[in-house]
Amino acid sequence: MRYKKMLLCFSFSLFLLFSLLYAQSETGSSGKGGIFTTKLDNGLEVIVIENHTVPLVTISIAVKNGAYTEPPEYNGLSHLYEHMFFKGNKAIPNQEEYMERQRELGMVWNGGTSTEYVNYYFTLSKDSLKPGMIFMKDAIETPLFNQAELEKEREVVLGEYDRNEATPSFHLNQAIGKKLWYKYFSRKNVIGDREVIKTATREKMMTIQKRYYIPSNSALIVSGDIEHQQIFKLAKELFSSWEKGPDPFKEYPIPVHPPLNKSEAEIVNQPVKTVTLQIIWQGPSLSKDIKSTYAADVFSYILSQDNSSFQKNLVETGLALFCNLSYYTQEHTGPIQITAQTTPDKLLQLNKAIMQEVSKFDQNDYFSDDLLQYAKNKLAVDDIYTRETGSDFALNLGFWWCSAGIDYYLNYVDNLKKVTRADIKKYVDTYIKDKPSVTGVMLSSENQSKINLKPEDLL
Amino acid sequence: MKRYLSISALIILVVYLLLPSLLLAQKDVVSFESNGLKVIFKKVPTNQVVSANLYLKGGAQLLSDSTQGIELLLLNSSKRETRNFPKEVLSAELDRMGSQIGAEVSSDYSTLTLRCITDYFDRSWELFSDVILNPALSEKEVNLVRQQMINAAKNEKENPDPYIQQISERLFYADHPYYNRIRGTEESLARISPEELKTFHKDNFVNTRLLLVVVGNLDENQLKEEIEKTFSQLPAGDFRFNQPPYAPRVQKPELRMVEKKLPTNYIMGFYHVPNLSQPEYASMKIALSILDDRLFEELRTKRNLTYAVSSGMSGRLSNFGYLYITTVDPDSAMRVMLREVDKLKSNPVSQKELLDAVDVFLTNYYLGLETNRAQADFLARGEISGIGWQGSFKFVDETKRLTPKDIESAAKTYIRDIHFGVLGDTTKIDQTLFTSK
Repeated sequence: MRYKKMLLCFSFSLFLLFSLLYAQSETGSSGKGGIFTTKLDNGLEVIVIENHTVPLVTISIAVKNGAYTEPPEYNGLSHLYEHMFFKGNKAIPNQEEYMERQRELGMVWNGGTSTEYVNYYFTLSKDSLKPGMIFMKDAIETPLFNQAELEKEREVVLGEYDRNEATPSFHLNQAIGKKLWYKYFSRKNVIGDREVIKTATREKMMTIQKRYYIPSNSALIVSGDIEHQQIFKLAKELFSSWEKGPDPFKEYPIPVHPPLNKSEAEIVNQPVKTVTLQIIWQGPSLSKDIKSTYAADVFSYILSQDNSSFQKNLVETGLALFCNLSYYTQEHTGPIQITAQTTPDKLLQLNKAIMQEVSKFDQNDYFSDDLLQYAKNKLAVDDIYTRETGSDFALNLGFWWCSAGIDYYLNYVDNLKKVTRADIKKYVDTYIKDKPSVTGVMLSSENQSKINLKPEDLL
Repeated sequence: MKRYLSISALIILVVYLLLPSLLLAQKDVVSFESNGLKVIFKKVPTNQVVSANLYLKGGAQLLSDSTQGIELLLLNSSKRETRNFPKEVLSAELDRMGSQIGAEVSSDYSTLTLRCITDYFDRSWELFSDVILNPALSEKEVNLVRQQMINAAKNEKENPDPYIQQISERLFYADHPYYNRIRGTEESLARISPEELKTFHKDNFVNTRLLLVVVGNLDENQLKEEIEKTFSQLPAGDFRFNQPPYAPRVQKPELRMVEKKLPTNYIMGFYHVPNLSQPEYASMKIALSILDDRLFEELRTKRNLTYAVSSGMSGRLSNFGYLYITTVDPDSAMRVMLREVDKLKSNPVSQKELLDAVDVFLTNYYLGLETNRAQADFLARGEISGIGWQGSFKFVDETKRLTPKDIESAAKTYIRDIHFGVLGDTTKIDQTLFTSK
């Protein structure tokens, strides 16, 4: 919502890192690892993370909404809705008063929209817990969507759109996205469609609210210097009246992205000096192939190590300034992505070298046992690092809750430990090797002319 | 809103009660010297993470045209291989333990960082020590790092946010040592040889120029032994850290415009503000936080003139405050922005607004101390600024004593002679607006 901390689209690495937070905890409300869960009668899941490092509490709500719920005529409106959350509700009718109340409570606040996740959070002194919870209840349950406020906020969101368009990589991502998700691009396009945002109505906001902003489609996640019993009690007292609704995904199921029929390439001209190369495949969905999502993360960590063939052959040789492979965990087809940066003269050689590496991904000797084990170790230690930052717990747990569910999250590290070479081979053979992909290159038009680059050169 | 007043008063009281706990945090901190090296150690028993940061004091003021970027090139190359741990061994060991050695630069110091878990501290420290004492600096590795840094320098102008910051910063610090580029330029980086790096390392890695801050659940005596073992191998030297000039020499408003076809305009203004060691630091910090809120409300909430508007200050020793906005209507936005600046300078804020701002500041303060790494930097900033690590805690306490008069006075004294940079459609700009304050 606010520029400084806007979370429009999360990176793989961030979520991989945060995914480890709770990995060694157990499911249920046992509280191992400092995490406790319960569910209210109206279906609202309440998750509490006890962390007593600093005297703060973060109150957040995660909602299963975002680009994946948007047909073209709604594209960008989950994000606009997220902005409208801060514009007033029945208890506090306009944004000026809303902001004044936030200041009174000493709040640091923000919201974010992603493909499968919308979140809202307030961090404040633990002694303001109850007024903070009341503030969240009013905001989530009774937004007003005042027409005048909506018209003003559309301009603000368009200002955010302008900033996206001012960034070169935005154009590369859009061009690739349109090819990769060719049938349902709106379902992956978080920032949305300018025209749809410009003409958004109050009625559309209310449709989103009625359909997705219901307790059984949301999780209240509270972290910080608190006790879980206290939160469970408060949640029951304050959020039990939140009205139930039908499961939105039964009536409005998310369409399945059809596979790519053939590999394609796209060249994007931007005023940049270096060259960015991306190769993207459609990867596993949590809803269909959970096992491959674990293999994907372990494999990405193997390739990130300096001693991997991938780094030695692509970066150490000087072909790429950096090169990495990542997988973005999603319920509905997560992308697998190789990203590299290089100079114009080395582009074609790099592209060829990457494809050579890809052709070896499923060979038994492509990585050593040590690299496999170190990848798992690193993932486990990252878990400990991530536990340091208490305020981020709630937000990242919200991401996992929306896409994967709490159990996936809580058993993450244990399942990573079980990943075998055979699992990685299956992941590579199912989603990457000899599978259609979209290759995108961003460079200046001058450099494109200089090396006489055509899309077919990249295939 | 009246119904909230009583709760608000309660919160204010709670905040005041909390403040002593900030000071209590000092109790866990010790400092000592080891062969001329100042060491600060904070024991944190609540997690398994250890952060050890080695600060090389000096920063931009000790660079020249030809050495711009030398510290980052040295540190980035050093952490890749050492004379005792070949690249593959160093990399494998770090990966095995999940330990991380990193390098960073700022205007006043460069930092070599270690993050590991307590179980692996001994071995990680051994590697970290060798990176400090015996970097290999082979031509191959230096060249690899050099190319990556040159590439980063090339990319600086591609994204408008770093570019507008660079435009405003270069304008503001034109006559100041901060004009030197700590990350180097394409030209300077291309020239620095591995031999120069080795000489720079030999001459500058002396204990009096270094500061070590360790935060984690370690045994103090064992840590002292390890530190002694490492830093007895470096000369004490006789480095004296001089604070950079207090403020840029030129004190009048200026404007630099860069034409670029963009969907919106990027505007950033710099002006001089006190640093952590100076008396009005706390009042300026809160004043700019109040201004930040007011700008958000006036420009974004009420007038939808922007998505991104802010006001704040950096943490440099020769410090700057800033105004920032992206907008398609720069003249209207600037008029409102400058009107808000005038209001802050000429009308006292209410006691309530001040106390609310202090509340928000405290939340941010705690958020900024959640990790051991952040705590290490917090202690180091106080030490390097000259007020000592204990002084870092002092300004937090000062915020509770601020009066509306302090805020008005700080705003009046410092928010002036703003140096504005503009990136975008410069034909839309009324230049007189930008050079009036």
